[in-house]
Amino acid sequence: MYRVYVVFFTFLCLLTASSQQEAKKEFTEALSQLMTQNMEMTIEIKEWSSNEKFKLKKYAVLMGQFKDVDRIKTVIQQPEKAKGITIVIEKTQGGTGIIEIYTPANGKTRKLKATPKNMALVNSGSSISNFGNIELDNMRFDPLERERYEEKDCFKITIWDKKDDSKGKTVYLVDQRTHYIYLVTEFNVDNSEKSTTMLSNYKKVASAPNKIQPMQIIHLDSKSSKKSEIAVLQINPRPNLEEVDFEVNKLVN
Amino acid sequence: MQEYIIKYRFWIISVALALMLGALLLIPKLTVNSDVRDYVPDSIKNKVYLQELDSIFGGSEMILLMLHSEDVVTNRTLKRLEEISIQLGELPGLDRVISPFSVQEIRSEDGFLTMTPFFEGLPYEPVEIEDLKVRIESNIMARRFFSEDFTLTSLVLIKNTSTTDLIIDKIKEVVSNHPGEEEMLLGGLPFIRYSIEGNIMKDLIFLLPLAMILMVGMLYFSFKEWKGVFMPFVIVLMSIILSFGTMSLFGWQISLFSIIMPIMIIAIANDYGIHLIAHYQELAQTTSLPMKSICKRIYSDLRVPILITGVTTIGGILSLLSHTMKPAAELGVLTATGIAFALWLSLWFLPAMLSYFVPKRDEQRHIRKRTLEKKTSLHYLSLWVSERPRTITSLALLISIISIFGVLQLKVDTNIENYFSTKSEVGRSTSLINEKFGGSQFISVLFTGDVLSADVLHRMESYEEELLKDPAVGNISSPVSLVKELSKGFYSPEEEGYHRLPKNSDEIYQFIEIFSMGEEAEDLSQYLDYDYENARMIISLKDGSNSASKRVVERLESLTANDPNMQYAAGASLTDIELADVVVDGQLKSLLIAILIVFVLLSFVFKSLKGGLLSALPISIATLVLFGLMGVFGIALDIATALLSSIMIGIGVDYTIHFLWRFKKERSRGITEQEAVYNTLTTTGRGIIINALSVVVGFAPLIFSSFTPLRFFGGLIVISILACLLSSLFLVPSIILIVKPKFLIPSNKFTIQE
Repeated sequence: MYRVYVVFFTFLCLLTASSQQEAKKEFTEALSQLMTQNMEMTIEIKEWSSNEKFKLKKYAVLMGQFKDVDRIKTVIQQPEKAKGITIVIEKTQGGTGIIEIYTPANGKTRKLKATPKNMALVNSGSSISNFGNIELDNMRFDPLERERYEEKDCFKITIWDKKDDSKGKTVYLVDQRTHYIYLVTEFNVDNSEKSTTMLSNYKKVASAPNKIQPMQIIHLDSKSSKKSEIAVLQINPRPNLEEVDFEVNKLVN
Repeated sequence: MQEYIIKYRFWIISVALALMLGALLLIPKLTVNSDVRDYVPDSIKNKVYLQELDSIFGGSEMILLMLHSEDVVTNRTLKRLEEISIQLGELPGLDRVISPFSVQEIRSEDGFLTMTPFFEGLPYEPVEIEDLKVRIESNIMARRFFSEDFTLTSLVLIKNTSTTDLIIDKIKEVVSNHPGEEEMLLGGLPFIRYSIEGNIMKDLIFLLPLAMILMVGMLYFSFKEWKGVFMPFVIVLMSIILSFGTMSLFGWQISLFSIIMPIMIIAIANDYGIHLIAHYQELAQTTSLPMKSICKRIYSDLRVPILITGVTTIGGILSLLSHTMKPAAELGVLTATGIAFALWLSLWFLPAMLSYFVPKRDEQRHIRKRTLEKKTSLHYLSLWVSERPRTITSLALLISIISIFGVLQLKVDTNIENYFSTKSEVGRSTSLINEKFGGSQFISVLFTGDVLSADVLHRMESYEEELLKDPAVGNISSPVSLVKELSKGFYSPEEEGYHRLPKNSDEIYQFIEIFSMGEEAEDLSQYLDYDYENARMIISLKDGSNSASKRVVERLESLTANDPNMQYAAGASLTDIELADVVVDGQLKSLLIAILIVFVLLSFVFKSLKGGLLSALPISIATLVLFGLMGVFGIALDIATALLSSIMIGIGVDYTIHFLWRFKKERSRGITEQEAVYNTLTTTGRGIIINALSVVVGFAPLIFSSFTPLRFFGGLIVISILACLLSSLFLVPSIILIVKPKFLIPSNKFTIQE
């Protein structure tokens, strides 16, 4: 009888491990077709406060990878009074780095030591860059599940940050056929919902046949009830980016 | 009518009991409303402004949680505060928990702008603690969470308006999960409202039985017969039940004012029964009439004076209808309903019930009768009054003149913080907040337009500098303080722009835009709306009194007179100012209407304007004495004490009516004025004194109320009733003896039924 239990338990463990591997594989495939590096894009962000007040922002974003350093440069185009504010994030694989902020009104550039906390400060509202930041080796996957979402068969992939206990799980709904990510739900540690991001209107990126991009991203913060709608107005691959392109005084476009 | 009362006594009793049972069934539906803002009429401008500010900047209900000890900058205390703040952050109903642990320290260091959490670790060693204290003192954002002497540290909890004040219970539960040696104190309007709600029920549960016990004791002491206790007691109880039932029927809620209602009914509603029982005892002792005949006789003898006193009391109390504050007007209606029911019960139900009993007759009643006729103290009092009418009148005139000086000193103060004694939990936390955290009351000033322009912000800065010179002003926070703090991240201390407002509007905008991208962006919403069209300056007041608030607002208005961006100032303390005007307005209206009602009614009853004037005179003097004493002793007119005069007039006029009624009857026997005064004081005088004492005993429990205004109310009503009593027993007979008014000369209609 004891042997039966051991065999059954081992089988169960293997099955679970196999299911977790499957989840990681599907998720990697979904990420791999997204354009997250070496590109430039113009995004328009419509933001609504909890009391329905509205703000329109426009950013020019440049994203590049140099060995193990990721660089993101965001130049604010709108609102008019903030035009020219430039934020450059230089991030190493370990999550540390430097942030530079240029304010044209006083011509000053200030450097910040990038920490996970102030990285959020200057993340420029670009949820796209978040996909590029996922370090799969630091993630733990739950066994793969399946779910119907808007009449599509999807994988339900749940991942946890192994390094950060203060974060809850993140659940991705990925189309089983196309591997498009449709829905991202973040949870707090107590399993309450933190935010929901809906991705839609996927298009192939010109000059990069294997890459796709969701042209519309809707983000809803559960606690503050703030809503933002990101429209990608333009996206181009930039395979030949140089470090000089990420200097604060060198404007995009 | 007396024949019908006895004939249909069963039906009268049944109808009364049915009405009471119907009302009793409605009582469980009653709810408590402790929100003083709801007492304020919607027409009050400040109430509208506050609602508008809430819609622009989000919920602004602040609860201050404080930890108090000799030194709060210790590892143990800070750790406890941090744990509490984390758990409170997860509490549904709280929008935000603003804690020292969310403060960012912005510095410019070696060319790097550093924006690090103020608390990156908690201090252990004494050196670390001393270093932390220095850092706290130099960081404006962290400093607001600590008192200057480091005996208090705090968390600011922001509650949305849809969350009930019962969240205080959950907050207390969270704190109890993290026990410690520090004393925990709560402050802020939601906590004050929560405490008011708890104390309203506590007061009702404690004061009502106390008033009942005192009333029973008073009745037994006066009548020495259980019938004399039982009858008025049942009438009072049924009247209170009917009033609360009526409150439920109208969909009204129990408010701070409602505590006074049953106490008033206890004090007033037994008066009519007292006169009837006293007369029943008199007839039982002096005649051999059977009970049914006694019941008919007490009704026919006393129905007119009881009806007049009842109607004048109801009229006086109904004058509260003119009060601008809704609960005060409701109090008027409900108490008048209860008293009207008590009046009907006294005139019909009491004789009907009494007729079922056997009269108690003392075997020594003839001896007792003789004793009754020789009330020595009343005998001497009557002689003294009838011999010195001019002295008494002059003395009354002198007291009135002195009282006028006191009235001129009378202050109006409706500050909600004063509802509690300084020893209570609310009182202690409020005084600590005022003393060490720059005040618990706030004034918000709204600016609209291009509020991030350098021009507007520099003007706001100049207003702040001027306002801070006022000793009542604690702190001022606005986009100005935030932008100045942000400038520390962009400039080095040696640069000109360090901790200064930029002169360039775009620079200000860009500072704010960068801050708005961060995780602490929520902090902006206190001062700026989402699209930067509105800005708010928040002024905290160490002194929440009406005079201090008024002074600060007047200064602000003079400073901003030509500012096109400044819209208005609003705040709970300003509601107090408008409320004070309403209170004074309501007080004056109620007072004049009450006196007018008394004057018209008694002019009609005595068919003489002089009769109306003479009846209104004692209550007018008592009113002067009351307000004079309040002025002299610095007792402010507030939402509770403002009800005093109308209630006092409603009750106090009864004594004059009883006196005049009896005096006229005595004169109809053909005796002189002096003899009539003597006879009235020695007979009806006793009833008047018992009546007044029963009212005093009824209201006395209010002295034990949890609310300071109600304690003052209890004390003052006792003083004012005594003033009415003295006026009726001394001044009214003195004036009659001097003026000899014609309306008191007997007509054929009045005959003594002996």
